[in-house]
Amino acid sequence: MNAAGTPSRRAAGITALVAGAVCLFIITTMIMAVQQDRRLTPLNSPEIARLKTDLAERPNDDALKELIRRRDHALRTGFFSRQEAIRSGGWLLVAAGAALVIALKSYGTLSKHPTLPDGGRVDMIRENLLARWGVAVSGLVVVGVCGAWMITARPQLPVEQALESAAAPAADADALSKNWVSFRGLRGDGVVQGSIPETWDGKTGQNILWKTPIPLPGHGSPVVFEGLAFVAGSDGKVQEVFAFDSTTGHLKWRSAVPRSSSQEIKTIDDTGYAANSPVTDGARVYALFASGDLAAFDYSGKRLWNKSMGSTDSTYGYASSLALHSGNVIVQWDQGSESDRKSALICFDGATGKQVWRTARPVGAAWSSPVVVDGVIYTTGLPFVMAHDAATGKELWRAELMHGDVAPSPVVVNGIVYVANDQSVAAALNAKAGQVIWKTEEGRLPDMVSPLCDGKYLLLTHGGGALTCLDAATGAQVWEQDQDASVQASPILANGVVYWTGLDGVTSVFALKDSYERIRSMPLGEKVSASVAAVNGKLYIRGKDNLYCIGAK
Amino acid sequence: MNAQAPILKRMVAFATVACATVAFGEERFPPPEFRAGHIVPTDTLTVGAGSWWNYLDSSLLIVALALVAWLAFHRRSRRGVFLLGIGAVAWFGFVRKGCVCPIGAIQNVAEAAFVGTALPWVVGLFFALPLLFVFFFGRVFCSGVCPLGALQDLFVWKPIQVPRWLEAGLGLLAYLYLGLAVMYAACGGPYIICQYDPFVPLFRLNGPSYMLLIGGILLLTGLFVGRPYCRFLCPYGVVLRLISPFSGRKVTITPAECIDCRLCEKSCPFGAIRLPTHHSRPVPALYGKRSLIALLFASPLIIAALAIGGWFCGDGFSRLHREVELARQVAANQQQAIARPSDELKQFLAAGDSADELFAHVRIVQHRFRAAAAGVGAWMGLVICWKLIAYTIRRTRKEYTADAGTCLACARCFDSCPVELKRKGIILELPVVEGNA
Repeated sequence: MNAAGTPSRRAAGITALVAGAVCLFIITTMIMAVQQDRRLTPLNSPEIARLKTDLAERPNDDALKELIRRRDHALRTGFFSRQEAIRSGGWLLVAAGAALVIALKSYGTLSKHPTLPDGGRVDMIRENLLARWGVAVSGLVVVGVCGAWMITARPQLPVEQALESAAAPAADADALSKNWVSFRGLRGDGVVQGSIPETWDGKTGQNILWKTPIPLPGHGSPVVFEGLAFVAGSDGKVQEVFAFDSTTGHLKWRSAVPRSSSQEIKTIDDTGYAANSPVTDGARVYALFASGDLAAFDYSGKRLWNKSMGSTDSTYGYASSLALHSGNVIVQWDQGSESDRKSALICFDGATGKQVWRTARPVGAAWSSPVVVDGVIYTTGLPFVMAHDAATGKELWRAELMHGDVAPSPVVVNGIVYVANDQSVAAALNAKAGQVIWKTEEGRLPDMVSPLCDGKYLLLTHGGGALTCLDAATGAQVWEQDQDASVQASPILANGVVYWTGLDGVTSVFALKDSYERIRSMPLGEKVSASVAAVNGKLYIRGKDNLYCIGAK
Repeated sequence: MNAQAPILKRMVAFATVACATVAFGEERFPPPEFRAGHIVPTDTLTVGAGSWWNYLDSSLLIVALALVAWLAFHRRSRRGVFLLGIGAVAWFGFVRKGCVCPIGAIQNVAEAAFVGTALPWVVGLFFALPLLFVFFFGRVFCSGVCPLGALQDLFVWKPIQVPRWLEAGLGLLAYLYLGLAVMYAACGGPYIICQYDPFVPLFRLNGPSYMLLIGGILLLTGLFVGRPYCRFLCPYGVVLRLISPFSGRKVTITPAECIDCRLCEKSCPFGAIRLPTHHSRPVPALYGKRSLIALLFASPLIIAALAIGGWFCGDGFSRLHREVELARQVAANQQQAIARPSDELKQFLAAGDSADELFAHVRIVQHRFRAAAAGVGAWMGLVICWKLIAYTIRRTRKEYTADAGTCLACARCFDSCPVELKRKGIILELPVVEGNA
């Protein structure tokens, strides 16, 4: 085992030296190539940057463009050549490294001397005891690390809150019907219980009880429950719900709904970002925005839950208002085209936000709102008028009657569903089974405004101001009248008298009877696109910038 | 020359790491910012490796396993095992880029078992073949077929004997890693074994710089601590370790009767050699019985406690699941718009998918993770208790033996045995051992 003399060992040593030198050379070359690679790339080339700056000043300089292309190409070619060289160098290094390892192993083997271990007997008791401690400590460390992981890395997701027990109960149907809790009231028909002010004047302040600015724009109607009037507003960035004292007009609170997406919302000015109306169940108020963000607040303004419905796919922007049923919130989520299968009717538990049911709808995007009457949800969509069980979401019937852009909502009176839409028909259907009682294409059919019906007459309003009154029993036209005013707000009916508010803020009053006869008209002095709310002898009108309360002084 | 050897060995270690590091770099640039009528070619899918590669890899695996078993048990050739290891590093490592490998196949098998995804036959074969061989020949796969093990084996230079307490403590990590890998695969999460494989980036000369760094550190550590990944981290090694005590044939240090010369005592760089009982101090007859009884009673409690703890860790573990992470980002974005959203979040927002549906789905995933994490906790509890009990039980050995679970069948110890050397004709006479003469 005398060392120096073994030729094999010497050969192994020399091989190791040579291989090591080759490795060093390759590493040096590769490091230089990498350094050069980092310096000369099209991304950080000062020359290219300078040339591009010049190009910005002389955008039509073709020679300069050609120069940039050539320099860019040269840099790219050089980069990829160096990459290839580095890759080849890597393989060469692996080969040289392998030779080095083999040579060193051989050298080590040829130099090995058998040796006896030091020390005497092993204390196995101590060894095992220490090993047990090793296992125990290691186990504790693992537990500790996992515990720390649990605390720090636990993803913060919106929790499904167990609010049922703590949630305030929704008001009963009687209380809801006495208030104005949703778009066009609880039944969505615009029929007012009791009387309302006969006259007002926004310019002189006659019968204007209060007028309060609304901080954010919107087209949604106010909803009112006893002491509070709610409106929603959004400018596309901020989404808020506002609660006003219904007696004084004082803004009691405003609460934001966080945007779930930074994606741009597709909408038009006539729709905006808060076109639909909130709903309130006497304990909470719910609002859905064009962003698809739905939220619930209690009456102190505390946000109870919020959820994203996903981004909307609606040509003019999402506009369907919410509806209520037994403490649940109903969303008519009609999106895209009929074939997109994006549409659904969805029911959320009002207290918790949990989805109660979801029923897919074979319709495209619509701008109409659902109405809930006697436990049945009635909707208009493209192309179906549909009825769903409000408790389960089960489809009860459908009738293919709608064409074009469907925006007017249905109304249900005396067990008959009345629908109408521009470019299609006005029709009456049996509310239980969906059979068509009559349908007509006569008159100027509505393109946005929902119908109004007292059981005898059906009033249709075209956005250009044309009124058509039909016989509710037969669909025969009774009269037609041009109002000479554009309109977006749906009319209301109080004591047989129609309150019809145009976009110019002027409300025309006329009786719904066999002939048109205007009784009077009252200006507000501000544009109005939202439908009017009426509670306890007061009217709540959302103007372009202000919320008005009108009542007898 | 003796002085130069360590320097050169260190050089090669650094060289390999440096090589892999410098080879890593961006290869793509965005196209130029002006139009020149150039039509950007449409992306096309790369045609996958043909099935003949699978047949070739499978055949080579079978041949390599048979060869290493023959070399370790019949030829008892360290050189043969070493050269086969180089071949494995070359083929399964650098040529086949470390994939498919039995270690990662654990996850495919777990996912197929728990999620019901398809298991490619070649992956199943790579998982099963080394297990089959371990039933007959012990951990021969680790010795000269596994490219990860063989690569580390090349770097064994001056191995120290890791104290038993440290070996026992660090040994738990591999069991935890196995449990976590199975948990993630079973819950549809990432393949963490592949994602955090320290050596595959070296084989591919490309990869995340932190993994290249970890691979380099492990190789450098391997200069002094033999095969650190195999001993303290490898999840497949855990499976093999559990089965190998039941293998038909076990590696014996000496080919004949042990002469108790002690020359092999420190020859194993992996701490697999167990001393005969008479080389340790006498152990009282009743020693450990009380501890054993206490451990047996405490074990169910420990297992239950860790299972419960695991349950509560499930949400944290689920963070690596891509949908859970996306939901976390979506939720955070809902509270306050994230200034620099990730690509996943941007894509989610652009697609306009429902956040509620995502949250609902993620809650199901998290529940699955909680259940799986409870399983991992119970598994770790079982392992800890079993280890504690194993270190309490007294064992009797008459001669130096290679621990069946720990021995990697690398054949290093053979050449330290004078009986073996005499068999090979390297020495003519056995040394005289004090006390045996």
